[in-house]
Amino acid sequence: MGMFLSLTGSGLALGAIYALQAVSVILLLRAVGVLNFAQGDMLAAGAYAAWLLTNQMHLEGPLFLIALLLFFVVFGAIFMAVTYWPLRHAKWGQPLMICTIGAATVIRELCVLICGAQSKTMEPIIPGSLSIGSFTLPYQYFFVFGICIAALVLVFVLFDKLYAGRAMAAASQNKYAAQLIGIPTALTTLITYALVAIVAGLGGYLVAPLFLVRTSLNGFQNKALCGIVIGGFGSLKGAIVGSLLIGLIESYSTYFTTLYKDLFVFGTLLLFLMIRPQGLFKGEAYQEKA
Amino acid sequence: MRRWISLLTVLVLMLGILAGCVQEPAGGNTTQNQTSSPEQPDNTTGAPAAQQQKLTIVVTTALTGEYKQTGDLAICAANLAVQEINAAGGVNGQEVAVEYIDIGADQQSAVTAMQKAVNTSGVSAIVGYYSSPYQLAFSSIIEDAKIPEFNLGNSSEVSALANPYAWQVRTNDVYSTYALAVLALDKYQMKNPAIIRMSDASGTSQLEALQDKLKERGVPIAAEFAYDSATISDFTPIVTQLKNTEHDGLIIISPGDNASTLLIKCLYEQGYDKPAVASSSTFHANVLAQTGEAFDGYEGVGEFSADMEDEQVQAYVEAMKASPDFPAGENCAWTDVVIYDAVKLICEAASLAGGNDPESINRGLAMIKGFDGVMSNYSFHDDHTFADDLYICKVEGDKIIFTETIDPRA
Repeated sequence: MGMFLSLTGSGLALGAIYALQAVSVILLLRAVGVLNFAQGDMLAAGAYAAWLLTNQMHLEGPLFLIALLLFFVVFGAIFMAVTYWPLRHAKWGQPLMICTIGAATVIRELCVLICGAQSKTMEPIIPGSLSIGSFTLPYQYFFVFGICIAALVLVFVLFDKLYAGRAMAAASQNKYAAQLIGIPTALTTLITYALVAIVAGLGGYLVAPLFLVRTSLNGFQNKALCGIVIGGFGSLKGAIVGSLLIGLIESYSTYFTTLYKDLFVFGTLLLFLMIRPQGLFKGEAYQEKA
Repeated sequence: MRRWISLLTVLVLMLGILAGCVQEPAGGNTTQNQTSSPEQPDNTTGAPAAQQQKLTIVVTTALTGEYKQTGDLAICAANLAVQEINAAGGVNGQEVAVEYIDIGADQQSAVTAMQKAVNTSGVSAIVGYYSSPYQLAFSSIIEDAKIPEFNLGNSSEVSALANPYAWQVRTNDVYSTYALAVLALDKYQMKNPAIIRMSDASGTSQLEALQDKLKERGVPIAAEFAYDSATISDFTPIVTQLKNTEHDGLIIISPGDNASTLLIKCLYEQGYDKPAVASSSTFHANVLAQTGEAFDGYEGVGEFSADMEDEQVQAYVEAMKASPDFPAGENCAWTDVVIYDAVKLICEAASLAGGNDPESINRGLAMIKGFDGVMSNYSFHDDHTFADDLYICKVEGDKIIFTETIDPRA
């Protein structure tokens, strides 16, 4: 029983990180119609930023959080200015997508240039592990799950309940119509990019104490994309459920094989593509830009 | 008419490309032919100094990417070795030069890098990389080019290729694994150990050696968990499974990189309290720095530590840290000293053979006996490995202490 609970705990925590990544990808896909291949590297950049602010600049508490938030906002704005703004009138989405592939490399190499290539350690939010009988899980895993879920709920509330969120959703559905009714689409796009950077970077900050601060954290993106497809391409709810499912599959599969767990994950993806390609939830059809 | 002109143009272009390929054979230049003509005696006299080519060593290492820091230390070590050799008069009357090529981030890049290395003008020998899968991938390139190359890993699968031009500085992992097994069984009295290992060629060959040794002693393996060191981040499921398996000790076969750090930290966080021994690659300065108290008390087979109480080691560490290339905040580890010793071995081989060309160096490597390196003494062995010594080591606080020197082939 303890083993099952430990595997579930670590699976859910990993799944929550994948969900954060997946939601960021969907947000950007809906806002500007581009699949962001730099998502994983944005997570890694978040980890590096957190490391720089804590270990090098020795910031703590609210000051650290404000600085981290500001960093993500500025990062998101620069990312938009470089990868989206010059190509926003492009007839097809491919140039935007290719731009993100290039941006991924640039982000990765910048992290190495500024912080050094060697992987770094970071202290967890609360050190130590919770042990009850044969169940043991570091406290950081609980924080990862909790904070990720809280962030996802906030994103939902933003888009579902708040005017700003509805304006952003409107702008993403039909930019021209949104402009006609007075929604500043450039601002909504900027806010979306900042939000994506915040969500991705937050994931990086949370996983850094568990998995080291290193550029190979960008590997989380692949499993997040699996979660998006399994959950239903374009569906926020689906992305979250799909990602949590992927995290659990990855964790439980180690009961059978520790080496080929990725086979289970991507095998599940293939299975879904064959049996239920629309995913668990029907994703919202992506509307052509006006 | 246009068709004929196009056809003619294509034909001329093809002939031009073919001619270009024929003019510069892989890995060679014209001076190489002069210094190793068939009429010359086999080894002792060689060509006069004036006719010797410069000894050019090409080092393939991580100049970019995640392992750039290791690459920076590698460059520092190679430069140090070359400076010392040139200060002592060079080899066969010629200076030693070193060139660097980026090994890249994956197997394909590594193969491309090795192609560039063998095609470097005037190359005498190559210092390769740590990765056994990379070595297996570009082994045929080295063999075709007939240029001696030092692999910095210790996988027995490299020896098994029987490539006459591929060499290994370190002891074959079969021997180091035997030593690890003996440590686990004799000192820690493990009767039912579990194994956690990496899944690549080196991990697989070490597992086979471990299985052989344990079978020889009639000791069953409680469980074996493999992981892909390139992609793994979370060891929690593996350690959870381990803790729920009946066993009395753990044998870790792990590379000295992020995977080792993550595994050791996970074992610590999960409160793992059974005796654990680890393979030589695990005892790396980076792993020690990143794991902190999690690594304390681990014992295993080691090859090098900057804390070794040895004059030669301390002189090496001092010289490295005094070097302007030495990255700030780093410490010496086996990953750099192995390159230093590899460069020295190449030069020693050239000196013994009396020639700086690849064939002479390859011949000379087989003549090396009792060469006093930093990491170990080195002698030629039939499996194309050189290191004579291994050590039993233990982590105490923030140091790796070497408690015993062993002969791995005994």
